[in-house]
Amino acid sequence: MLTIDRLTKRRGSALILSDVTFQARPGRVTGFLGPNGAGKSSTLRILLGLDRPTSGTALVDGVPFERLPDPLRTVGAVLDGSGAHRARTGRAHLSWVAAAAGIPRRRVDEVLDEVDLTGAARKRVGSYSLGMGRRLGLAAALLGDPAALVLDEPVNGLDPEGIRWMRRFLRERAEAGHTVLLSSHLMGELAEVVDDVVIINGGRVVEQGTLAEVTGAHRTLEDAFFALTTGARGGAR
Amino acid sequence: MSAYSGELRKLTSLPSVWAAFAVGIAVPAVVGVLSAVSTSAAIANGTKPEAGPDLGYQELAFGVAGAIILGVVAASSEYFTEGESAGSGRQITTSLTAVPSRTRFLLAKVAALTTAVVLMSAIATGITLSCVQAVVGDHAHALDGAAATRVPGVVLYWVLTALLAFGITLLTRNGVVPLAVLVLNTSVVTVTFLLSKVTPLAVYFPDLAGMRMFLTEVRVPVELSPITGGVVMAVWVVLLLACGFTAFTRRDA
Amino acid sequence: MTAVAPTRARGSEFTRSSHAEVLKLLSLPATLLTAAGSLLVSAVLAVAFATAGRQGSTGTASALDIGLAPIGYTQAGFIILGVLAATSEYTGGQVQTSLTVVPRRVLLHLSKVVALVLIAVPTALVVVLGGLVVANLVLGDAAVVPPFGDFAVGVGGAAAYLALTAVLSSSVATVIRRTVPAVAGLLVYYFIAGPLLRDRTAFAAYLPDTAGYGMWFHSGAGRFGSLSALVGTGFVVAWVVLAVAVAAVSFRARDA
Repeated sequence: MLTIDRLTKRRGSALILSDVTFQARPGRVTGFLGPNGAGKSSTLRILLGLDRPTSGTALVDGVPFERLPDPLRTVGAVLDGSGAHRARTGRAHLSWVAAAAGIPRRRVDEVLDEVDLTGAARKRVGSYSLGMGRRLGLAAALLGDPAALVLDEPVNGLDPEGIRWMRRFLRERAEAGHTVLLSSHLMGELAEVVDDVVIINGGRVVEQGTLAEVTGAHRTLEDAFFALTTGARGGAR
Repeated sequence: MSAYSGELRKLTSLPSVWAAFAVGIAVPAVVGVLSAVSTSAAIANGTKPEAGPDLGYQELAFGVAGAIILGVVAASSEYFTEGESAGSGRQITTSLTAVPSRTRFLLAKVAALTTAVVLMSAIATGITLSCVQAVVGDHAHALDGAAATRVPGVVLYWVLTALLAFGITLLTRNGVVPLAVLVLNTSVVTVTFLLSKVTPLAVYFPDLAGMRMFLTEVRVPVELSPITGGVVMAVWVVLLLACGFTAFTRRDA
Repeated sequence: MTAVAPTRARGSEFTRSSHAEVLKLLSLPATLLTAAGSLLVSAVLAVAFATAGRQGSTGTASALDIGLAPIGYTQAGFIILGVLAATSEYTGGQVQTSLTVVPRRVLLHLSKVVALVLIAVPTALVVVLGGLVVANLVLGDAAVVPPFGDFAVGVGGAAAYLALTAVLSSSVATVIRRTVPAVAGLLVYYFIAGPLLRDRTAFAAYLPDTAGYGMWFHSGAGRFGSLSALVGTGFVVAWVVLAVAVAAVSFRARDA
């Protein structure tokens, strides 16, 4: 279970996050939705210990990320890009990640198969397409078969087939009892995946609840999203 | 014209450029003052009659490291992928879509680079020579107007070196190799100087030849005149730039 | 989908992280190229110095001094190795991956230092011995062969200096984070500013390049500011410890 509690972050004079509070529960896909620059990535980065908050906490099963005894087996993170150096091969990248987490080598082949990158494993990451890079990032996150998956804009750069695959994959993980937290600004794609929704705009949470609750009287999640966000921004730009 | 000002603005936005200026201006000035102080002391206790003719100028020869850094950074900044987490986001794709003619793009870069180096070398020369003059005072080597030709020699040397660095970086597409080769060659015992002990042909290397434009005491077997030295260096630069331009316009970005 | 065995990971976190860092260095083509380049430079310069030695134009006929003389230049290769080891984290956003696997930053930083030392020391030994072998071949009968004790100390000191220089460079690059500025700054210091200061000031004797001079240039030990090889080594180690500490603080405090 991922718990974000009154997270605030200031950078200089800018208020990037303000009192952000929500939870991502096991067995459910939680969608963290908002326009670009709303603070989604900042929140996830703080959760993963990459950035530091001004105040508030972001905990994984009650523990800050840095103090997890086995981070890769608890939380798998898929952030932007491939997270890999362009001169290494895909396999070499996954090998060092597995070594650092104390995960047996055979898992490297297993995850490569799971994301369908076995053929490209011996090629340099620099030659990968955008979609292949994202799949490599996902493979690294799956090495430890973690209880929770945190994904920042997971369908960015994927083709339609890839998007469908990702949707099915994330649903399967939630149904198996794992926690899935993803962030996105694409409503249409993810309305079919999420169970719980947290909408963020300008660093603040404007609405949260189950998909049905947040959609409310609107026809689609997308309509609800625009109703909740464009008003706060003073109209579409 | 707009391509030129675009490239100039790009250059001034790079932090490395300001570091290069700091190196190019501070190194000759600080080291020159240190040399001048010890020369003054030597004159005071009679070990030396007067300051050598190259005081200040020899130190400016070392300051060319700043010009090397500028030349390398001007080319390699297009290929930076550090800090990029998305795809192959290199500045070069943006640059080339803004100015489709690759030759014109490179010429604008060369013009911007030259402007920056002329500025840097003028400042460095001014500061170093006046500081040295202030320390050494009346014991300075009699110049008899030679400064009028030597100072432009320094500026030209720095500009040509920067262009040399630029051309090499275009060929290697990577800043580390040209930096290593050129900075090592600017060190106190340069590789080309060592080679000149082995063969007199080494004086035709661009750095040894170009130094003749403003240094009088260079212990090499064959002494070129300042003008010959300048021409030899310019020929090297033109050849390397031509290779760099051709490679750049022919290959994929 | 096979589940991972629920047992705890093998080995301590530090050992695992160091192992991963070694794998990272070995799988980066630039590492191999830099090592090979250093060896090549060492061999070529050994030929040059030894040829000069045969003609008597060097100040010494000692095969050890001539064979070790290239280190003044090959240290550039180890500076570059150290910088690349640090800055390669910032390509492709790899630092994010590293921190989500090993979130404890000081531990990660120190394991990188250990991995670099594990790679740099053998590389340095190969480079140093390569230079010595080539110099000895070229000098032929003119070589003055040193006693084994001197030889061992010479090789050990030189390799240690090169490895320490790599670690120092990697810490500087951890703070600067970008390859070209880090390489430019370090090379300008080690090859231009440092030597120029060495000839003109007394305090330069305590700086890492001059203090370490006695570690590989034995005829020169005691020449500059009267720092013996042993004291010089101590100063170099002190600089390296300082650099590693500063880099660790920087890495820990900043956003990834």
